[in-house]
Amino acid sequence: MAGLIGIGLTGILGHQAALNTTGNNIANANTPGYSRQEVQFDAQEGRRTGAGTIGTGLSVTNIRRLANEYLVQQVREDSTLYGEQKTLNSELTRLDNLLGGESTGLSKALNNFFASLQNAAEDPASLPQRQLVLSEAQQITSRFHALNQEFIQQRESVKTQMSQGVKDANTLLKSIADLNVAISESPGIAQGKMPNELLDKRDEKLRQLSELVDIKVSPADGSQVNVSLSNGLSLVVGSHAATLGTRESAEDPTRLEFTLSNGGRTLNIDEQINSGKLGGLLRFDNGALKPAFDELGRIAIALSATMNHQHEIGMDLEGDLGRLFFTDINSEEVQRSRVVANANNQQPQTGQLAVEITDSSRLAAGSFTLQFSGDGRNFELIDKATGETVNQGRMPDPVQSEISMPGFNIRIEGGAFNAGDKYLIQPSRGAAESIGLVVNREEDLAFASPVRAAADGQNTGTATIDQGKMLDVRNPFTNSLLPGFQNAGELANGPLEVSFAAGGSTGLIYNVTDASSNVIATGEYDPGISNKLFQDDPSVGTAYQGFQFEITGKPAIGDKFAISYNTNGVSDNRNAGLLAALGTANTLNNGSQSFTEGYAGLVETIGVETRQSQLDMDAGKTLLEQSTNQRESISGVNLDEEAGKLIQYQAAYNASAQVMSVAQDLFNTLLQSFR
Amino acid sequence: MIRISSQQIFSGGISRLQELNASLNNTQQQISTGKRVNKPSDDPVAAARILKLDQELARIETYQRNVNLADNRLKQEESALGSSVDIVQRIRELTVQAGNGSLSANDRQSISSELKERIGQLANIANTRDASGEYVFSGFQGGTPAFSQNAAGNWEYQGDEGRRVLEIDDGVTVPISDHGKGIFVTIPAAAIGTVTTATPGNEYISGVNITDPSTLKGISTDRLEISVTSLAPSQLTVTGPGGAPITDAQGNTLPFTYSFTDGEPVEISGVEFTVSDVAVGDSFEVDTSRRQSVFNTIETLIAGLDGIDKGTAEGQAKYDDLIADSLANLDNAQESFILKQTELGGRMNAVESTKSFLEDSSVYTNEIRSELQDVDYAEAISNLSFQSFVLQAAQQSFARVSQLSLFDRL
Repeated sequence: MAGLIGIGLTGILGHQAALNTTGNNIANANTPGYSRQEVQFDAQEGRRTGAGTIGTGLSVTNIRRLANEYLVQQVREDSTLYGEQKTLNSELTRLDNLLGGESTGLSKALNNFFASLQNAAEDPASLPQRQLVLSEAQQITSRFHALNQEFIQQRESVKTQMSQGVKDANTLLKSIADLNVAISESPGIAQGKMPNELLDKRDEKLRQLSELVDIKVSPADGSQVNVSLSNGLSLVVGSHAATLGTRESAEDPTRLEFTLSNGGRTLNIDEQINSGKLGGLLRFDNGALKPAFDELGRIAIALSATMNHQHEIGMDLEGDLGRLFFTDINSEEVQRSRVVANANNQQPQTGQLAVEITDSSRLAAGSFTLQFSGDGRNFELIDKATGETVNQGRMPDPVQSEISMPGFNIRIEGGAFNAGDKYLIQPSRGAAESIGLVVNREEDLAFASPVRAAADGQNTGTATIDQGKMLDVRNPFTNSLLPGFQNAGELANGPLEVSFAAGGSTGLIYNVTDASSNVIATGEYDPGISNKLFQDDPSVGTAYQGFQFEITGKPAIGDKFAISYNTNGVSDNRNAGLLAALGTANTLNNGSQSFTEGYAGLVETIGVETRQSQLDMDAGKTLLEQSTNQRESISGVNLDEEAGKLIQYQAAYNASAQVMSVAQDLFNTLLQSFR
Repeated sequence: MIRISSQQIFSGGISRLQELNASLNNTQQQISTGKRVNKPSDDPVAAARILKLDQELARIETYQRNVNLADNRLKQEESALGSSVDIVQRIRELTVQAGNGSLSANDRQSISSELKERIGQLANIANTRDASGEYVFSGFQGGTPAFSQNAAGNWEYQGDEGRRVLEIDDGVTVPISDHGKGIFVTIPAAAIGTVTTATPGNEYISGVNITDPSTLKGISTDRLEISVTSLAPSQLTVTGPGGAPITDAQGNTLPFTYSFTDGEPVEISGVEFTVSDVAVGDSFEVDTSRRQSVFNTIETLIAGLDGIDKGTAEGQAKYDDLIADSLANLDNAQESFILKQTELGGRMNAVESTKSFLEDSSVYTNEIRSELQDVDYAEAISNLSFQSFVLQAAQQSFARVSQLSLFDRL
């Protein structure tokens, strides 16, 4: 009887435990990371009797947590992937919307600007038309600034997310280390009685951590886990957690780099963070944002360079040569700003470098690392995007020299260079920020050309001269003004006179003489073709005057043409036409793209990346869902199942109680028989 | 059999509903904006092409504006030239009148005074200004009047040879102005003879006339130097400038010496002239390729009407030459104007055809752009109704499934 009560009691207690566990499952049906538990029953060892073994009831051997380590690992891996793609996608989408927006993009401003130039060409003396050109040009610079500002904001937002992500990761690392301790110290662990809720909690923390970075989890003694980055750098060892951090990048002070501090040592771990949310942020910055900065800057440089050149060889409404239209792309300050010395360079850090844009049409959008080795005079230039060495060599002693690259020159001006010193070369990174409008008066817009030609009234031949084409006002080698343009408002060596005389194989030669009757160009004249009077090559001396005139037809001996400054030429629209033509000219990519096409290329690149990342994210989401479902199918709580169990255990509980009641009845019956 | 957790039923159901909502929203956005490509990632290649087409459209719009402006300018120039033709026509009539031998000096005076009015009128037209006040015929120097009177009262060209050109389509340019020099100044003029004797006596040259332009064109010079070498027999020499021998189109050297009769026409290589009252050593020059401004022609005519004394034989000959030359020169001026008018007509035709071409390309470009960017409504609306049907079904089934619970039966 006592045995029966005992058996009933074990049943009651056992099923109470089972009901509690089921209740707990139901209560935690929506708890993230919770794994359902079940009670493992075992029959108690029976009493041996002569007749055999009589059972003594139920014992609860274990409360088991239903979890599969492999599936948990799978969920972590997929979380890492999805975390990276989700971050990348959300950042790219922002960039995509910005660049593609009709009002936020650059293309509308470009179109309007060149349209205003076309319109101004119709009536070059009209001040309202000129005012419109100025305000549209202002619009362009504001668009560049606004886009650049948006890029900067996004860069800052990436940096904030990096610091925040690192803080979150540190909290998680700390919790994991703490949980490691709590688990290893939990009572009964030696007997295999696991602290289920602590394990769930730790798995959940590990999952959250895997959303941020790519981690490897390995089991250790005392049911602890060690966590490391995928390449092996330890994050958590037992009860000890390392600290992730961010700091200003030594290479590029506008960026942050990830660090890992462990035992007083701090390492840069940018190379190791290549997945998860933090990896996604780095990938976005390196793969989309920096190239976008560079590409936008390249368009700004090409626009400034070509507009400036064309504007400088024009003549304004007041008869002066045109000056800069946009800010100079090669001012001393800008040239120096294109080079950033690595903060870790050896003392004394006196290296002086500058980058000069030599040909905007050949300039590629990109950045480079200039790295010194050996005795500090061997250099190597590495393309940041591909990691390839694009130029290498040895600097002379003293070091003043130039490293020529397509479209730009790196000028080494002086200072000390040591092996291991690095410099970041960014030819176009800041250009969208520094572009500005220099012309500020309508009258200063150079819509005319500064030269013109006229036939002498006494000419008897039928030859005609064209109105000339400007090439340059400066000698490209010395950058000083050509002889004709040294005085404002006149052709300093002019007017030039073209005259014809007998001679040469064609029977006719021409001479161009300057105001002091010096012959500056001469040649044979062929009446059948269009004859160029000057040379187009700046290296030939006086026969290069910075302009070109052509004569066609049949001149008579003694005929004369005069080439003079375009004084009072207010109605001349030649330069306005040429400025407007730049809108469609192929000025980028070795002369294969116009400004709009260059910008469209940027939009397309970002669009493709965004679309790709959208697909990747969808795939990543599906993978994560699948692995989550697999984990859920093992560890998730199904309420119907729990309800069934509730009924099942309740029935057994009731029955066990009935067993006790029977035992009591038996006992009563026995007592009454003795009364 | 795979276990499904209750959380899966709910979270799975909810995330399906969210996906359906997202795609429904996307379709709805396409319909409400009318655009298939709302951001570059919707179709990156199309987005880049749309930017290019936008540029194309902006350019076409600018060109269309330029076409209209070019047309206006050309019309203004044409109407100025039309008036010039009328004025020169009137001057020609007056010149013909003046050639009437029975006119008295007074009659000539009154003709000359009308001519003075007309020349001012012609100068006004040559100084036509455009809407922004610039002189149309001054070349690049729109701020300077094309013609102004010098100290002697003669009209002189002040501008240059600049010509304004406007782009009306990619690579298609049309001149929208012409300099006055080409229209009013460098007009071919009748050949004239001048006395070049160092100390002139009574001799004069008259009746210079081109009888055979093709022969004249072939010879090596357009300036004949004539000098009388003897009178019995009357002989003169004809050379090019500086005494150079004259060759004809075939390269043959022409004779050096010709005989002539005083006061009778002589014809040499297509040019006819008459030398009168000559002495040995007298020299003359005949210039066959002169150019003269229309103003100069009229001024010379006025000066002749006012100043030539018809009393002498020389005066009579000069007067006759003046009238004949003036008529020829006025005809040439008219021809110059009409030639320019024809050229303007050609340009206006080109402008007109460019205009219709631009309209066509604008339509095409818009069509292509719309194909790339615009939503296909039939497709989008059928998508929308299908998606909303699916969403409704998903909502209903989710509501049903989520209500199922064994606890309700307990």
